[in-house]
Amino acid sequence: MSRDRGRDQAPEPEEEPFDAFAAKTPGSATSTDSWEAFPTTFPIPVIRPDDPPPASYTPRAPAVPDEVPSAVIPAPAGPRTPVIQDPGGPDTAGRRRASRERGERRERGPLARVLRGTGLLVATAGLVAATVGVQWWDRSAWVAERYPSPVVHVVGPGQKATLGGVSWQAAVTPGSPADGQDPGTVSLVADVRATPAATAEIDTSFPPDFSVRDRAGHIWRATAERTPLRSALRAGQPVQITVVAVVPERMRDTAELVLSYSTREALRFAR
Amino acid sequence: MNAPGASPAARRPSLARRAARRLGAGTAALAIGAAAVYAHTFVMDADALDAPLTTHAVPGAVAETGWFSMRLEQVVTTRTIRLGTPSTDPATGTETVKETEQVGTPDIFVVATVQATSADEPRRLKNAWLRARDGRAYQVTDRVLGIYTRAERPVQHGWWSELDYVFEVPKDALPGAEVVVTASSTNGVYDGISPGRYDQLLPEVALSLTTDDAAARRLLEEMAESVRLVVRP
Repeated sequence: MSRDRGRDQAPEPEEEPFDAFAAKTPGSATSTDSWEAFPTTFPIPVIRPDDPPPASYTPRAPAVPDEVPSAVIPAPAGPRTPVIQDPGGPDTAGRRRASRERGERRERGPLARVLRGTGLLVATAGLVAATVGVQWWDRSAWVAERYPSPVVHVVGPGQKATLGGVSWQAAVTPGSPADGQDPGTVSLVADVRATPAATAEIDTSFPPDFSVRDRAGHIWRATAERTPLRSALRAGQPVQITVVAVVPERMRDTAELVLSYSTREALRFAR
Repeated sequence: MNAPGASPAARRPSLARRAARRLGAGTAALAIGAAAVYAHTFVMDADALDAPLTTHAVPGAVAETGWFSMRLEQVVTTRTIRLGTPSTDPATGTETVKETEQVGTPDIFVVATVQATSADEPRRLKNAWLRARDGRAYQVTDRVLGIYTRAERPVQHGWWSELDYVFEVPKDALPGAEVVVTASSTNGVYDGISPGRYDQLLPEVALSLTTDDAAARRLLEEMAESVRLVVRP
């Protein structure tokens, strides 16, 4: 589309403006597959009509008009003399500019068209991926900030850990079946020992939530029985809490007690 | 491809061809823009946002969702429900059930007994409806408390729990009806503040009450005189 742009402003052939860098023979010798010139300080060889043609210049026959001087047409099987290859001098740039001003379409070979199409496809895919990727990254960062991963502290058997200003210790053992308990299930009883370190923290957070979990992510309800009143807690004085849960029978020896005040931090008592 | 030796004026496309090409490109751009604007009208309304993901199942088959699974075990119709409370004699250890209340209805009670289990964590499945073929939906009756039906007990992973849902419906609602159970929302108070705000994709099961209309008619013909529901732990 862009190569068609400005074609309306292209002057008529008879109104062709003066171009100092145009070809020596205006209206002829317009190469259709030349490269853009680039600035160079390299000495540009002067081509005279009686000079031998450069070996690397091989224009395609259909693109050469009849009035092209024979000096710039290479001999098909002529002697290949070592010549300095012209990377695109003023003559080439002038020819290209003049060609563009006359509104001529550049002809591309099939390989160039395939390369151009492939490049466009790759660029489109890259831009789409970048656009989606930036949004994905931004949303992920927002979600990670708003919903941080919970921190689970694993407490070894018989060991203590502190959470919410209370030192916790727990032991889980199978209990006796309760009335109306579903078949295939077993009761677990956790004896939890809580020792407040200071009353300041427990005034707002005690008691915690209890649950029983396995390492595969399954969660079972756990109910605390005989929970002490918050006002009865004293710093340094341990209290006993009994937590009861019902789990599938296969989890009798592996289900673990989990204690938490929020979804962000929890204690897991390993068995 | 232009002929060799053609003049630049001859090689340039004609004015009509250039105008046609520009017109085509402009039309394509307008069409793409219009399609993009039209695509923005494909937004879900509040009902669509609230719509759950429903899994259907025939009687006796398991309807499995990502949160829970459920199957319909038994359906009984009656006009009277007796509510009982068990008690155990401490001396003899024998259990007796004392019927404390009897409720009736001018329509019919449909007592649907289901088995349910959870996929991961405890789920309370108390949001249940009986949905008639024409779209009418009946909530569970408030004449029977949850302590008699266990419908408010959480179902947990690893075993199947039995729940009862009691509906009070007219007779003509039975043919083609479904028992619909939806998982509770996890949005808490935000559902009340902004109803229909979030696309929650809550899982839901729709269990066909009967296999066909003939079975529904039989269900009405074989209506029980009364059904007793007892408080269960």
